[in-house]
Amino acid sequence: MTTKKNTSEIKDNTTDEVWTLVNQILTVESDYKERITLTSDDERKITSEILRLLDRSVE
Amino acid sequence: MWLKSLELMNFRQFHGCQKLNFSPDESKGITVVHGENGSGKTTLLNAFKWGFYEVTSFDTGEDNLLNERAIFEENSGNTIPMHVEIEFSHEQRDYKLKRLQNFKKTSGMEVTSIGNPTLELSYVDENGKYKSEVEGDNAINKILPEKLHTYFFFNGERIEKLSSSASTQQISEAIKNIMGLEIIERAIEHLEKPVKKKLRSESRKSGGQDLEKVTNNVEKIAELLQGKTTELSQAQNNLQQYEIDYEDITERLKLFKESSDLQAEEGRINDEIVAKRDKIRQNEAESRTLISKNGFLAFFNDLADEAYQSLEGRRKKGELPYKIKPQFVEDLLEIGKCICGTEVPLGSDGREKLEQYKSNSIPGLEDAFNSTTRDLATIGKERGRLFSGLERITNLTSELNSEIEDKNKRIEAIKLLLDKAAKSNDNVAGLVNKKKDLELSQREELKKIGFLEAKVLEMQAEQKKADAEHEEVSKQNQLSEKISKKIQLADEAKRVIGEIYDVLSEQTRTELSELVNKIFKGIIRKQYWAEIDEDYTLQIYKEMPNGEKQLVPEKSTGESQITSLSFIASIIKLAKEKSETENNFFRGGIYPIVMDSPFGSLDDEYRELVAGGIPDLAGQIILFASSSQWKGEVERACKQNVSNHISLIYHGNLKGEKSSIYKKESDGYEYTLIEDGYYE
Repeated sequence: MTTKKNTSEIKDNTTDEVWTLVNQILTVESDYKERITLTSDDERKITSEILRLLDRSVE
Repeated sequence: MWLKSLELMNFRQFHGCQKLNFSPDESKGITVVHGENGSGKTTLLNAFKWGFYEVTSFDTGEDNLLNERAIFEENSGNTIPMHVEIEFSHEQRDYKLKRLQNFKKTSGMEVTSIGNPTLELSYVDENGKYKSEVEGDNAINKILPEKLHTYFFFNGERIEKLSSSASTQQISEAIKNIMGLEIIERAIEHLEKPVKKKLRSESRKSGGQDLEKVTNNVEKIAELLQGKTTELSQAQNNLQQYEIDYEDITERLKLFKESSDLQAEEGRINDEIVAKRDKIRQNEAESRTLISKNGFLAFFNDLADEAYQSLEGRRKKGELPYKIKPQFVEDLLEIGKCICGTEVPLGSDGREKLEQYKSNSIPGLEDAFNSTTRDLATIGKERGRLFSGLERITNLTSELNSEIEDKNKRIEAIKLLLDKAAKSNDNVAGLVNKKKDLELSQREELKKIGFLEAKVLEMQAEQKKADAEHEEVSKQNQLSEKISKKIQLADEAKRVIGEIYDVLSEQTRTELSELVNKIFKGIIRKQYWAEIDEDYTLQIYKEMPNGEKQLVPEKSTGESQITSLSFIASIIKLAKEKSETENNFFRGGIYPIVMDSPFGSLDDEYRELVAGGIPDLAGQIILFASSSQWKGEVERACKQNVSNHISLIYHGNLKGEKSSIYKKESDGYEYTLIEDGYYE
């Protein structure tokens, strides 16, 4: 696999649906960016939030 | 962030409660802490680390943190407190951090710790309100990330290790941290594990027996793969640790006269072997390029020559290219006259002959003939060039391999000589034995890694197959179609996030590499330059007379120190830049630097050049130095930026050593007192 040069190039090669989902997932993760380690409660919340985003994407 | 004070209570040689106050003057950011060897400079550096992160880097570990005098003076059964308190300001807030560990004296000089160390972190906000942080460790990590702490709390005497190949993981971690790439890593992991597990479980419930079977298979493979991946990562960490320990022992062996020269030679030869292996890799790459470009020529054998001869023969016979051009025949047919003037009406023999000429001539044949004969003539030359190129590379590689073999023989001989040297010095013997054990462990770990990497690859292929099967079965089931779509979306999102990860880490590596080089070139005397390679190794290069880029395999300790200091300065600079950038991922921050003896192995000129760059390293710098390290060029370079001086006065049994301002006879106890000011 060749590494793409920048994020715009990745965006151009990704469908809008997936790109939006990726940004939403990274926003969820960035809410926990200061955590040294994630607690099991954090993990549970993040997982259910990502599942909710996936649900919304296929509706 | 600005450090305001450091208070120690019964921490190592600091008895009772003692405090260092750092200047609040941001226009002169340097505080110098003066102290002779053994007076506690490294302890102060570790007090910062223990206070902020509950870690230390003492050679003796964390078993003897409590002050001996405090133990001696307390009665058995009583509690002895030990703490480190740090006051600092950050983004208009004044923080106070206190890490406390209580001990209970059992008998004699024995103590046991009471519970684990506790952390209290409180602050006064911009409105003057007092608040307490519930999750102190996380709050500290936000202000001063733990994973970057080795770059702002560092021991100069050990700093050159950063530029060794064993530190690639450390460098890669630093890059990850500054860019906030951990968030991206976590996203990939969440999509791969809990999210997909949940989706597969939903899929199982909604599907029939077949679906359950393939889902179970996918789960089983995922679990096994996870196990092997964890094992692999553990083995890689072990290997990394062995490499660090090995380098440490190598450095220590250089300190004994019995082993110093041998160890230095071994190090030099090992570096040369690495450079030769690099050259072999370059040759392999060149060979691959040659084959991919012209490799097909190897299969032509004599075919091209035969084809050329055949065409040339037909040319000589006048068969090719066809002499009569089709357009000329067409024109004759149209006017109904032969070239000799004979009429050629429809149905005549003459016309039939002309029609035959027309069908025998092929449009474009002449051009095709000319270009084919020309190309066939050059193929032979290109083929010759391909073979001679490959032969040259093969010879060079075999020469390099033979040189490596010779060097390995010399290393074996050095090992025998080291064994001999070990007989006359127990310390050397201990280190040599430890080194052998480490070599053995490294070999074992490498074998294990090789096996696990192959296993992981095999299982990844199995996983791909099982995923495809699962997708197929899922698709057949109407109910699970939606879940199948979600799984596909999760996979696609994971792939895209992986690409973002690669792009961002590569961007930061390049950016950091340029910064390192800029700072490095400002200090180094030689025509060298520094780079962070694609595998995150900090390397020095030079240009050969033929213009080729050449790795400098053997760096002097001074050059290694300068490379490492350039890297640290770049990390601090980049972190500051990133903290000013608005982005979901970037973390960055404004960090102070606390450095212990940063000029250990530098000669006078480098010392002056490095010292000249110190005021620009960070806004606030706390510099620990002995009088010999401080006086002269360092003092001259930093003087303008020093706001205050603090002195460490060591008290102990001097055993015939001369008493001085910094070293005093004690009443039997060994301890250090902190005083403001500096005795010249």
